[in-house]
Amino acid sequence: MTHDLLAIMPELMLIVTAVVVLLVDPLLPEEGRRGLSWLGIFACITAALSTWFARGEEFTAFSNSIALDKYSVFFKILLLGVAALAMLISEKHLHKKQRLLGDYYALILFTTVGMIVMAEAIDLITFFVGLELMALSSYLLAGFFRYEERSIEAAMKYFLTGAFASNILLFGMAFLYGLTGSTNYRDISEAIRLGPVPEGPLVIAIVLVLAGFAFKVSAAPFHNWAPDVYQGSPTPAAAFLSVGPKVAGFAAILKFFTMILGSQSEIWVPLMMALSVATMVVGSTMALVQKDLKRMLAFSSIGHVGYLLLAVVATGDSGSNVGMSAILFYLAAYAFMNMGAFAVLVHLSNNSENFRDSLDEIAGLGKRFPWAAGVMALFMLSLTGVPPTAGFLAKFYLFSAVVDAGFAWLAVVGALFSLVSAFFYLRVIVYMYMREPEESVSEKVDGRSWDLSLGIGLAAAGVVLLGILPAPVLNAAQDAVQKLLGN
Amino acid sequence: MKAAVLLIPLLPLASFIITGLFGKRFFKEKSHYLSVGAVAVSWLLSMYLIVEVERGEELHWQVYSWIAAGSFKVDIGFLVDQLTAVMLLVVSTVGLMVHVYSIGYMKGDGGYYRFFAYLNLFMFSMFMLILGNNFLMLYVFWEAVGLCSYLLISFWYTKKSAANAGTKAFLVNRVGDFGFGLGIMLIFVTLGTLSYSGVFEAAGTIGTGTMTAICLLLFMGAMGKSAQFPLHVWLPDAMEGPTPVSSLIHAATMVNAGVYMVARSNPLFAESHTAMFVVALVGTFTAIFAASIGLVQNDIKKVLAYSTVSQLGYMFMALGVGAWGAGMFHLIAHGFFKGLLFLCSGSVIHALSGEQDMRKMGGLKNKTKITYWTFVIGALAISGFPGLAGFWSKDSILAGSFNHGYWYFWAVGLIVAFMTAFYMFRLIFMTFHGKPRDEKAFAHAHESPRSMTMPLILLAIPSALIGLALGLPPEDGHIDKFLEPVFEAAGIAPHAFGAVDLGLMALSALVGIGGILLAWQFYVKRPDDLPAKAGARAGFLYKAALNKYWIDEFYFAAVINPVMALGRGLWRWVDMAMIDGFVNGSARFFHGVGMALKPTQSGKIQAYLFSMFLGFLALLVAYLILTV
Repeated sequence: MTHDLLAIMPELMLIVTAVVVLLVDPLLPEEGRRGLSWLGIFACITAALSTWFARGEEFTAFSNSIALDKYSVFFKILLLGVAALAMLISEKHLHKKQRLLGDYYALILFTTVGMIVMAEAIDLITFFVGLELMALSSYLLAGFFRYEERSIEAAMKYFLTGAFASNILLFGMAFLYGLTGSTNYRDISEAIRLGPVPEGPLVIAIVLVLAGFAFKVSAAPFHNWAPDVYQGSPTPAAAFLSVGPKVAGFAAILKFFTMILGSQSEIWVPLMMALSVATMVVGSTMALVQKDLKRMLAFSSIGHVGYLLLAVVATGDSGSNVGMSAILFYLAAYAFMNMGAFAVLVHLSNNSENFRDSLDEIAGLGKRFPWAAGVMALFMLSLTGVPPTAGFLAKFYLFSAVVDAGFAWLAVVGALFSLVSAFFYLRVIVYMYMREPEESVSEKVDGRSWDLSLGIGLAAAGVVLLGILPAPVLNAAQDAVQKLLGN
Repeated sequence: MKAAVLLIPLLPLASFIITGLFGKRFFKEKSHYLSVGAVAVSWLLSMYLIVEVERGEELHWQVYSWIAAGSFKVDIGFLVDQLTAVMLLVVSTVGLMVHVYSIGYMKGDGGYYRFFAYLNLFMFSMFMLILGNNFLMLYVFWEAVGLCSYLLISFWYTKKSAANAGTKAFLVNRVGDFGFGLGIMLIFVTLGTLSYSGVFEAAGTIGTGTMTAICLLLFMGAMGKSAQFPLHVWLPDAMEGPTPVSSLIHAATMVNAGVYMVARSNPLFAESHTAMFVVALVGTFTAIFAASIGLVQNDIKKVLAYSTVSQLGYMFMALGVGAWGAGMFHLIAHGFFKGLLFLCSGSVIHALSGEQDMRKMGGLKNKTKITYWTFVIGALAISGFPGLAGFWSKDSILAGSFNHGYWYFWAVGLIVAFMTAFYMFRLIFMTFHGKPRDEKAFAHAHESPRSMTMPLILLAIPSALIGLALGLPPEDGHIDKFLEPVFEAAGIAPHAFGAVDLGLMALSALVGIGGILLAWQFYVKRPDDLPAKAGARAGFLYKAALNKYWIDEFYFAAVINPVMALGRGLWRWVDMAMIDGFVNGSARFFHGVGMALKPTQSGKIQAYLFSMFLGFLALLVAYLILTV
C-alpha cells in the first residue's frame, strides 16, 4: 500500500495542491489570487524534483497497473515542465480578461495528473481513467472564458468530438480485452504474440485504437477539432493544449504500438504510414492558407504530428530505439518551441487594446515590440528546423532515424513538407520585420508581466540550449526507451 | 586550465550578448566598460594558458558531441598546444589594445554599442577558431570571423563604398571557402573523421594524389582569408571599415587564420611536395606583387593594406619552404607591428579629421609626437631594422628559404624587403616630415586622446623587443624550440647558426637600411622632383602598379560582367520562365491543396464527426487493400 502511494507521489502532490487551490480561492481577494499560479508551479517543481530523485527506482504499482521506469520519469518531468510553463504564462492574461480564478490552475493540475497517468499506465483501464481525466479537464480549460462565444464553442466541439474519439478508443480496447482476456499491456502482448488470435477482430481492434489515438494527437483526418479549439480557447490554455495532450498521447502511442502490438507491426505500419502522410499534407498545406496565427500554429502542430508518426513507423518496423528516442527528443523540443510561440501571442494580446491573433497585426512587430519579435523569430526558426536551434536537431535525429529504418522515401516526403512549412513560418518573420505596421493596429497598453517574460525566456533558453547542448536530454531519451523495448 | 579555456571565448560572447541586447537602451556611451573588461580578463587568462603551455602542459579536451548519428559525428572540443599559445598571444594582446583604442576612436559614433558588440563577437569567434580541435569547428568559426569581418567592414553601412566593400569581401571569400569546404569534405570522405589528432595520425595513409588535392583545396581557403593572389582584392577595399577593425581583423588576427590553418595542417602538407611548392610560390609572388603596388599608393591605409598582403605572402613563403617556425614567428611579429601601424594610421586620420590621402599630409611630426615615434618604431620593425622584431622574423624566413635550397625565393624575398623599407618610409616621410600640404587640416591637427595613445605605446614595446626575446639566434631561437613539437611531423629541426647565416643577416639588414635611405632621398631631400621623375621613368610599370595591375578591372571584364550577363540571361529565361514557374507553381499547388481542403474545416461538428467516421472506414479499407 505505502509502496503504491509512493509510486504516485508526484500525482498526489498535484492533486492535493489542486484541491487546496480550489478551497482557498473563494477566500482570497482578487489581488491575492495572483499568487495561486505560483502555488501550482511550486507543486509541479516539487513533483518533478521528487520524480528526479526517485529515478533510479524501477517497479510496478497498483497490481501492475502503472510502471515506474526511466520512460515514465522522462515523460513526467517533461509534462510537469509543460504544466509549470503553462501556469507561468497564464496569470496576466486571465487577469486582463477578468477570469482570474483558481479553478484554472486546478484544471491544469488535474489535466497534468491525467497525462502523467497516461504515460505511466501499463493497464488499459488505468490508461483510460488517465485519458478521461485529461480530456474532461481540458474541455473545461478550452471553455474557460465562458463569456466569450468562441471559447464556449471550442469547449463544446472539443467535448463532442473528444467523447466520440474516446468511445472509439474504448471500443478498440474492449476488443483487445475480448481477444486476450487481460487488461495488462504485457499480458495482452504475450497473448497476441503466442496466439492464436483471430485476425479479423484484431485488425478491427488495431484500427479502432489507431483512430482513437489519431484523434487525441490530432492526426488527419481526425484533426478537424484542433484548429477550432485552439483558436477559441484562451491563448495560454491553447499553448498548454497544443503540447500537453500530444506529448501524453505519444507517450501512450509508443507504449501501445511497441509493447502491446509490437508483434503485429505488419498490420499497423502501413496504416500509420498513410495517417502520417495525410497528416503532413493537411498540416502543411492548410497552415499555408491561414490568416489567423492561432489556427496557423494549430495546423503547424498537426504537421509536426505527421513527422512524429513517421518516426513511430520507423520504430515499429525495425524495433530500433533510435526512432523512439528521436520521438522523445522531438517532443521535448516541440514543447519548448510551440509553447514559446503561443506565449508570444499571449504577450501581444496582453499588451494590445484588442489583439485578434491575425497575421496582419504582427506586421512591423520588429519595431513596435522588438523583444517579442526577436523571440518569435527564434521560435519560428526552430519550428522550421534551422540550426543551431532545438527544432533542427529534433528534425535531424527524427529523419535520420526514419532513413536508418529503411524508409528513405518517407524521410524525403517529410523533408519536402518541412520545406513547405518553412514558407508559413518564415512568412511570420517577413511580416514582423519587412512590413510596415497596419494603420488600424490596435493601441499599445501596458500589460507587462514578469511571469510571462520569464516563461517566454525559459522557452527561448530551452530552444537554444537543446540546440547547442542536446546531449543530456538525448541521453535521457535513450535511457528512457531502453527498458521499454526490453519487454 | 579547462576553466580558462572555456572562459576565454565565453566572456566576449557573454559581453556580446549583453551589450548587443541592452547596449542601445542602457549602456550607450558606456558600452565599452563590459566589452573591454571581458576582453581584458580573456587576455589575462590567455597569458596564464601561455605560461602553462610554456611549462609543458597541453590540453586535449573533448567537451561533448553535438551531433552523433551513426558514423556522422560532430564533436565540440578544445586543443591547446604551442601553436594555439602563439595565436592566443597575438589575438588576445592586439584584441585588447584595439578594444581600448576604440574607446577613443569611436567616441560619439551613433553605433557605439553596436561596434563593441561586433568586436566582442569577433573575439569570441576568433578564440574559438584557434582553440578548436577539429576541422569542422575551424570551418564554422572561419565563417563566423568572416561574418564579423563583413559586418564591421560595412559598419558605416549608409556609405555606399563601405557596403560595397563588405559585399566584395563576402563574395571573394566565398571562392576561397568553396575550396576550403571541399577540402574538409574530402578529408572526411577519405578518413571518416575531422578531429585534428585523428586526421594527422592517419596522414601517412593517404595517397599522394589525394593528399595534394586536400592540401590545395585547404590552401584555397587560406588564399581567400589571408588575401593571397589572386584572391587578395578584397583586403584593400576592406579598409572602408573603421580603422580599429582594419588593425584587429585585417592586419593582426583574422587574416592570419589562413596561415594558422596551413601551419596547423603541417602533417598534411608535409606529405605533399607539390602543395608545399604551390604555397611557397603563391606566397612569394603575392609578397612582391603586393609590395610593388604598395610603393605607389597614396591612401595611407591602402599602403598598409598592400603591405599586409605582402607580409602574409612572406609567411606563406616560409611555410611553403618548410621554415614553419619562421612563418609563425613572422606571424607574431607582424601581428604586433602591423596592428600598431594601423592604429597609428588611425591616430593620424583622427588628427586630420578623417583625411586619408598622404598627398594632403606632411609635417605632423611635432604635432603628434607619440603617434610619430610609435609609427617610426613600427615602420623600423617592419623594414627589418637590425634589432627590432621584423628584422629577426624576416631574416629567419629568408635564411630558411636559402638554407632549404630555395635560393630563388630568397632572392625575391630580399627584393621585397627592400621595397617594404622603401614604401614604409615613403609613408612616414610623406605624413610626418616636410611642409604641411594642407594648411587648413594641419592647423586643426592634434594628438589623439590617452585611450588611443596608450595602446600605441604598449604595442610599440613588443614590436621592438619581441624579436630579441623570441628569435635569437635565428632559426634556433626560443620560438623555434617552443614550436618544435607542433612541427615534428613536418620533420624540420632547428639548425645551428653558422657563418652563412651571419652573411645573410648582414645582407638583409643592409637591404632594409638601403630602402629607408632611398625613401629619404626621394621624399625628404628632393620631394619636389625625384618622385615625379622616377614615376615618369618607370612609365608603364608605374601606371600599372598605381592601378593595382588592373586586377579589379580584369575581374569585372572576365568574371563579374559575364556572370552578370549570364545571370540576367538565366534570370530571364531560366529563372523567370522555368524556376519561378516551378516554384510559384508548386507554391500555387500547395496553396491550392490548402484551399481545396479548406471546406473540410467547416466548423460544423456533424461534419467533423462524419469525417472521423470516414477516416475510420478509410483505415479499414486501406488495410484491406494493402493486405488482400
